[in-house]
Amino acid sequence: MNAFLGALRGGIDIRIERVATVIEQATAGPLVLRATLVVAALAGFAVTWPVRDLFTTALILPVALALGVGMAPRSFTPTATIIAMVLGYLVNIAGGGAPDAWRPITAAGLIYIVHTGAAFAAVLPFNTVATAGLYLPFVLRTAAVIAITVIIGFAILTVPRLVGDHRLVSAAVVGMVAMVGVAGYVAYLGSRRR
Amino acid sequence: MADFGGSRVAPRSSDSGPPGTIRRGSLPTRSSRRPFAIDLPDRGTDQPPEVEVTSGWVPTRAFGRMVLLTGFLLVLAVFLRRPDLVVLAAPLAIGAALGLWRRPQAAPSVRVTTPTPAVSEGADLNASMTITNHDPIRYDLVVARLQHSRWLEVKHTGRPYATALAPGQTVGIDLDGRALRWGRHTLGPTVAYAVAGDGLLISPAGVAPYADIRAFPNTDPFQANDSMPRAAGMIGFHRSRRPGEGGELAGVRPFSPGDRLRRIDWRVSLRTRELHVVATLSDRDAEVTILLDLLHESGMSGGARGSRSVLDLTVRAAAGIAEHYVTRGDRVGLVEYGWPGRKLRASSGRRHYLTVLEWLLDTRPSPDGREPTVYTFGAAQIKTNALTIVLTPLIDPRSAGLLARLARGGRFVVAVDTMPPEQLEMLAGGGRPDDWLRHGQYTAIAARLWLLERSNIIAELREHGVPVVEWGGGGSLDEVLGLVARMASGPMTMPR
Repeated sequence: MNAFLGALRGGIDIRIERVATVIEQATAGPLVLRATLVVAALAGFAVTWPVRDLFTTALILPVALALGVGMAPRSFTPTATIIAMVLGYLVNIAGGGAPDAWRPITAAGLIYIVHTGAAFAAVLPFNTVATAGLYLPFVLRTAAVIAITVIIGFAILTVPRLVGDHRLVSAAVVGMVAMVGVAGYVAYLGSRRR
Repeated sequence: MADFGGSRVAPRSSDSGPPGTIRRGSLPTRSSRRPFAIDLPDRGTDQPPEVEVTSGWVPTRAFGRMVLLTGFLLVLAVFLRRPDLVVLAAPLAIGAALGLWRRPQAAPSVRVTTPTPAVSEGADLNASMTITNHDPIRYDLVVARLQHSRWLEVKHTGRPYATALAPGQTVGIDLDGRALRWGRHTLGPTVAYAVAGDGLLISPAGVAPYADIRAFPNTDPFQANDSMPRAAGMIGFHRSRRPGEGGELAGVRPFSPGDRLRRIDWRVSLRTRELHVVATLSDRDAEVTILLDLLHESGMSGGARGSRSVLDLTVRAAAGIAEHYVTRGDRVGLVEYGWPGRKLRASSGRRHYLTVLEWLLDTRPSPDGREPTVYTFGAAQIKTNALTIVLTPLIDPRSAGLLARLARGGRFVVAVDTMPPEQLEMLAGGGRPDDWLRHGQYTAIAARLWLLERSNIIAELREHGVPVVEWGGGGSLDEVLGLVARMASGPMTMPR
């Protein structure tokens, strides 16, 4: 028992030392990036989850996941966070009909920020000394992707309302072709793995 | 955001020079007040080649996340008939499509160069790292981590460097720093990887080779009088007892055939009405053998501006003594007493002094206090007419034995104590409260006993005619050198 407690204390000491080293050596760029990840994840939960759940004990989960994304972007936490957002979104819209267009579009933007920010933070050490202009192309590309998403999102969510509540065979065919195209592209990307 | 102090270099196509050649600086020079100031040599051939990181890009974990989430959301959208779920998946797919539309093939190349591969201990060091993107695809990120010898202080030491690289672009990063201690040091290797495709692809980590840095020891200032036990050769600084061409007046004698006309002493010749010439003693050079006792190292080295270890003191003293005698035209050789027992043949001149400095860079304490083998070290290798200066901390009784053997063999031996005085004071005083000397009940007592034993050994050596003197720089050896010279002028008695 004493040996177990000693090992436990040793492990805790090592982790505390590691945290102290990280705090001491961390540079501004990676810190801002990781803080942005945490904020984006929290905002994503605020948009996707039901409001009533955000003021209960269930709030612990999104906060923990958001902090996890910032602290461990290389782990499975970003994926779990995005899945939790999507599940919260499904629960949120389960009771009602079609949501307002802003909600899925905003959620999509925040999910993408968490995804691409975690991808960038995962390969950028916390104590990196960065050249000027390192982050600008990343920010511009993210903004461009979100802008395209906004356009596509409005097209997807508003066109059915304009067309009306009746079924079109052509729309089903276009949808199927789009599905096959996306699936094929994803399979193509996967096949090029080395 | 930190600033490298580096410079962005134009793309290679418009670059007039080869990549990586950022600048060439002038070599640092030794102090001009020194009698034998030497510009340290520049070895351009020490520059390592530019090495390309091994190609073979692989998907990152984010790639798998993108595939998983896109598929998951699209399947949900179909089964739940929710087009808004397609919107959630849209940016992931769009980002991947934009990022992976064109994939990188080539890998970045990294190179660490220094225009000053040879510096003085404690002097500034100029170096740079260049990273080049040879691919037509932009790299989102290149992370390079530089490792280096602990005796080099480099700007942003211990931190990785990150930069984004446009196609064909080269980035130069300044790695200015300082060489903290003498010796051969390495700047590198550098481990680097690149990330592209919106963070979805990563190149394997590659290793660029290191650059060699030679930090020459700071020579302790040393001056000594011209007392030499024996001189050899017909040129040099020291006067001999033999008549010949030289500057030392030996007397006036009658002219004889073969005498040079410019040697005629006209005043004496007019007075005596017979030709007389000025007789001089010939000038001779001497051979100095510096014997480095490397059986043991003691103390912690703090570099050029910190505390001194035995090895620091030994190397700096050897460099100072060699500089002094080489400057005066004497021949200086070096011998290691320790494993592997290297030896540098005695010679003189500026080039030889540089050779001495190079030789000293490889000085290491003997592993496990191992003695050199009889094939590499022996008293027979030290000439009998050479002045032998033994730099020894007198830690090991074998060192005292070596000194005694050399003295009995008829060598002119001077022992220079290279144990730093601060260490002796610490041992005598019992150390500070946090020192290892305070650990254990008998440690401090044992240290004092060892000091007494060492004092006894030194006294015995002096009784046997081996002068032992503490190293104190300029003038510290004058007294013992004079003593040795007087002993050499007397009759030699060999013990039975």
